[in-house]
Amino acid sequence: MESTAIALVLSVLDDLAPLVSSSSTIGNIIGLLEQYLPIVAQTATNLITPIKNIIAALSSNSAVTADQLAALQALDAQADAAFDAALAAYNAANPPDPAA
Amino acid sequence: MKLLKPLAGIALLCLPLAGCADLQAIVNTAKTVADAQIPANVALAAANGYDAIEILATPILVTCTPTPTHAVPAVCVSQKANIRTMSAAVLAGRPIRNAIEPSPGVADPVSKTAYDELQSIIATITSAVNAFNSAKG
Repeated sequence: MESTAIALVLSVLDDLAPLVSSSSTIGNIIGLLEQYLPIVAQTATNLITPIKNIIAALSSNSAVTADQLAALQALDAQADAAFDAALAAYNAANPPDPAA
Repeated sequence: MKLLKPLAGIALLCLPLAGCADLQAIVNTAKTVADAQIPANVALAAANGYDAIEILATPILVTCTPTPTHAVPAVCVSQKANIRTMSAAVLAGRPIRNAIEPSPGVADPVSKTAYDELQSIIATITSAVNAFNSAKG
């Protein structure tokens, strides 16, 4: 139910992102993405791509401020950081076979 | 690309003539250069695809990492080689993804080699993720 609601909001944001011309609106959208990304990563991974598309659209929007761009890049980096942390923990618990 | 069609037409007419060999070579070179570029929006879609599959790969590592309160399922043992392949592919794809993702406001085409390599890596990760999920049941 929650993911359906998020999907609906993301669909609207995806349409709006290229058209937004106000920095404050961009800030509001970034705030929503910051809330949604952790939920989506856990429960609705099919919505990752729409989120990535919104991040890309906002990043290339001429109204985006430097701070907002940094926030968008931080959002983008979350996936890398989560994978690196999980891989480090996995490797510590499952050392590679010496023969491999 | 607009220049390519008329050039190709002229080259085709020239084919039986030895003197046109140079023109044919020019057309071939132009075609190679045109083919070697992928539009930025297409490349960006591939970069986003990489990000999405990376996010799907992460929970597999978490599932297969034991903690004091979490014992790993048997599938983690049977899929160990697959998990290693998946992890290596994710790490290999990252610099290519980073190179493809354009700076804000920049929409330069991307080299076809990098694009193809990233697509191949995405296919490897997707295959590993699907194999794990199938084995998990």
